Amino acid sequence: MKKTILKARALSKSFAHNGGQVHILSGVDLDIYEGDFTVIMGASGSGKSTMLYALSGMDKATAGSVIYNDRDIAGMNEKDLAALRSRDFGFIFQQMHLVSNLSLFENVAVPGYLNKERSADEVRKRAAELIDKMGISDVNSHLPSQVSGGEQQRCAVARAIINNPKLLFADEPTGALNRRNTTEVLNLLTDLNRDGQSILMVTHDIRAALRASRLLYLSDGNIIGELELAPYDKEEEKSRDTQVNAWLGSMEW
Amino acid sequence: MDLLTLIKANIRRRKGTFISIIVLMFISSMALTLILSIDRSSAESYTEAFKNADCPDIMVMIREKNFTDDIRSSLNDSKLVDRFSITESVVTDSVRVGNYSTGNSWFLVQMKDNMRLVNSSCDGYEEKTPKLKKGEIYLSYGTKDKLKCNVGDRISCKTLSGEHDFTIKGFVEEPMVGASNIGWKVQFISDEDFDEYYVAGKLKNDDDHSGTGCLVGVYKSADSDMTSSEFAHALSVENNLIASAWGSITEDESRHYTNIYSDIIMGIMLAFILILVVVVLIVAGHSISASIEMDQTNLGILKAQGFTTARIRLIFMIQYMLAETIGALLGIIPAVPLIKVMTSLFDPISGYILDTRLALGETLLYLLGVFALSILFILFITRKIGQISPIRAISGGKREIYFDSRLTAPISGGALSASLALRQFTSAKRRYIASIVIAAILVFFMLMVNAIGDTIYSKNAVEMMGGEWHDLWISAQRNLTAEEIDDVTDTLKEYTEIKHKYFSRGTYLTVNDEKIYCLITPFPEELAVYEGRYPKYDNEVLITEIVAERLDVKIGDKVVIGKNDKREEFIVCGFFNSMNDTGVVVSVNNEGGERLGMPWFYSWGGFNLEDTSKLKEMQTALRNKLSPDIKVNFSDEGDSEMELYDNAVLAMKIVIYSFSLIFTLVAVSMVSSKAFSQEKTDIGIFKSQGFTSGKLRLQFAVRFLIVSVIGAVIGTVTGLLFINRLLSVLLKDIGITNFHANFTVIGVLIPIAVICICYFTFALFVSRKIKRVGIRQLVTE
Repeated sequence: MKKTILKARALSKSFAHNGGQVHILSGVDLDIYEGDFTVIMGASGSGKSTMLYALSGMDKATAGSVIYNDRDIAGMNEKDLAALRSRDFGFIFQQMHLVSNLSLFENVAVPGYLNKERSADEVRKRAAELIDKMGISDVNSHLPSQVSGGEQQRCAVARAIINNPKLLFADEPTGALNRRNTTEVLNLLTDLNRDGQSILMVTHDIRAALRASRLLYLSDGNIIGELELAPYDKEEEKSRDTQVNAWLGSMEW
Repeated sequence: MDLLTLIKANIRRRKGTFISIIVLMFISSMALTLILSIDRSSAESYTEAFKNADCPDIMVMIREKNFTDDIRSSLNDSKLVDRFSITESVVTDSVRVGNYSTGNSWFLVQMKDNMRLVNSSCDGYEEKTPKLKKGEIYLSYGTKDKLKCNVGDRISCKTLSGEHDFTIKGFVEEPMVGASNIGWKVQFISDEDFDEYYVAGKLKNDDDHSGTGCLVGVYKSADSDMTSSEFAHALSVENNLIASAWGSITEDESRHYTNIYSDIIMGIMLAFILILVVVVLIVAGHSISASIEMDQTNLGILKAQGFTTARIRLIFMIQYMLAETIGALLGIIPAVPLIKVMTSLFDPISGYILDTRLALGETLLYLLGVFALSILFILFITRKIGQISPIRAISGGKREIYFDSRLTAPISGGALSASLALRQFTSAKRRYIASIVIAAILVFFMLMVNAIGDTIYSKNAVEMMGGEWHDLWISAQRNLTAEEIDDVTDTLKEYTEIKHKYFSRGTYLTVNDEKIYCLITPFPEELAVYEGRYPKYDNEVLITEIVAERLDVKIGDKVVIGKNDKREEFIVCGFFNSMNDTGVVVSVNNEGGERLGMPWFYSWGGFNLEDTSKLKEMQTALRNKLSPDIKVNFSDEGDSEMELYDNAVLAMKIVIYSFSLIFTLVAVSMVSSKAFSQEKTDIGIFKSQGFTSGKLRLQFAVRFLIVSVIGAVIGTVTGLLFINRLLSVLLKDIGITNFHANFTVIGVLIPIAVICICYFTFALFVSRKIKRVGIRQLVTE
């Protein structure tokens, strides 16, 4: 029996537009399980990123609830949300969004300093380990503008996991990368998941979707399909690709 | 149409910047209008008053017996002289109204027909000036606040023939010596009183004393193009009128002394306002620069659509010039009522009612200059638009705007907010240069105004500038002997240490044929010498730097000093500060005075004491010890002339401080708003990492605190290094050539604290937007 780490009930999001309302999410019910690599797919404009932001507390939903640790994060104040982001959630953006005037090392270390669960020395040690693990130790003193997109995104991954988040959110993490860098980042995420990291990722990239242990399909503001997959194995990628493509076809992808 | 559409869109989008420029120009223009109007008014009102009163080019105060037939003949025969007038006068020794008194000589003369009477609200003149009755007196307007007197008050004038009481009938314009800072005064009494007191005074005159005198007004010939100072110099060569007189004053000197305070204060204010205009340019420049940086994409798109660089620059130009013009024109409006308020501060000092008309022409001329400077500045700033290529629009437009720094202070876990704030600052220093410059300028001026204020209030500083501070003084209607002065000194020493003792007599004499005021003192060591030394021998003279410049002499040079028919050679032994006669002063010791035919004669002297808590006891002890005809007084009231000046300085302080606050508010708001816009994404990223809005706001405000501290330190250091020199130049007109500011810890810390607190608070206020914007909105910006 899988343990639910985050659940959404009747989650809705709408925007006012031209005097009317545009519904992006229409009462979504969803459970995210501990240890899963959950991937949400859907067509462009289907509301994938909106759902990710609502689930992670980055954005407020119009209605419904998002429960984490028995608390509705929609009802949390700014301080509690900030603490949640610092301690329990990690986030990877499509455009990396590293702080441009901090070095890669500092970008990784700053959330660690903020968290205050470790001493400054321990944070530095952990940041160095992660940077080493991400394979960017030779450029750790560089500024984001001085490294490649792949290196930036690997740094963003390291930053997202420095505080050992319970759940890692990723918004199209490979969207701005070339093929080689995409593979590198996906391998990293897969490795993290193998080590027990729960991940919730939105993407429209099938290569990224193949890494999932659970695939969800969003259409017209609701989850309309779900596919459970075995843990990712590179050797079986071809058959997995066929399976996922068939499923996506059934979703009218 | 394309221009209009884009300008309208830009203004809509950057409303804050547009309004900020309007506000800054509004303040600058208002202050500029005010200063230029008062400046013009001082000059024109004085000229009008001078003409109205038919004042001479030189007025000479002289004993009747010294105004010899030879001098009269010389004046009659002189080609330099058009005519001369003689006004008989009764001379006072001292005057008292209520608690206030003065020992300066007043010349009581008969009322004249062309005098203008100041109205009851002190903002204009009555149509008619009623004739005086017996026992009534018209005082010159500059006397009113100096002696804190009003219409109906009783005034007691001590003369050689006795004490005469009058009722103040009103205050009149007397431009020649009417200003409160000129010691001599010409006051007007009824014909009956004058006839009685003049005859009585003449009867009391002897070789040493004179209770009456002549005011000789000398008018230069109509075709002369000499200034009144040149005329006085030429006249001194022809005859002994000036050298034989108690004193004289030229039109140039009168104009100079009359408007001296308004000139200095307005001069400092004008410098401040012109620098504020530069601040406006810096702020506008910063804003344009940041806009170009942030709008690369849009600028690229415009270029891709066929807009030329010149056309885009024109859009910026029109946009900012429109804001400047609106602000400048609006600023003129509130200046109109403010002129009245400001002139009412200077009227009691200058002694005549300043015109309150707007100097529109001068203001517009200055504003045109400012606009021209702005146009050049905007052209300079917008030159980088030429470097933007259309391709930049396609590639997203933005280029990296950080990393111009090698000052990468480490990010510390312990002081995370502070170290991040420092990093934000060091990585975009150029963005904050404008704020640093503004903070430095404002602190510099605040420091300067504090230095002036503290110096004016400090008795030590008054002495440092060559003024005298008397805690206790003695006076007699006769010559005080050296033994009597020693007695007083010994008695006072039983109570406290004597810091300074001032005994001197002042007289006008000629130095290299220039009429100059001379202080003769038995205690030359008390003079404020700052270069060379005080006169030890009877052939040494101490001079001020103003005299040195005027005579083109230096220490060690020889000068010829003339008094009456004596002419003696003296050696310049040093420079000193003196506020007497606005710094046109020399000083010799008692023996030097004797060489010039002026033996020991000191009837008055003051003491500056270390401990002033037992003044009453000292007064009693001295009264018991000294001869009863020696009066002993001590100060229990402020110096009313200083109070007048203090009010003007206070007004200047208020203006500079309030303008600084408004400028800080607007400048910081603009710079921080731009910084906020440029860093929205970073703020969003920090938020997504768990930073609270409060922490980010603090980090943002700390950055401006760092900026303000740097600016304040630069302003303070520059101030400490240059304020004395700058003020020495600015205050040279009132005789201070070696200004020594009394920088107090509080006086230095207050400007720093004010600016730093303002920067921090205003940045914190502006950063409230951080709270309002959601993370997703920020991150996906």
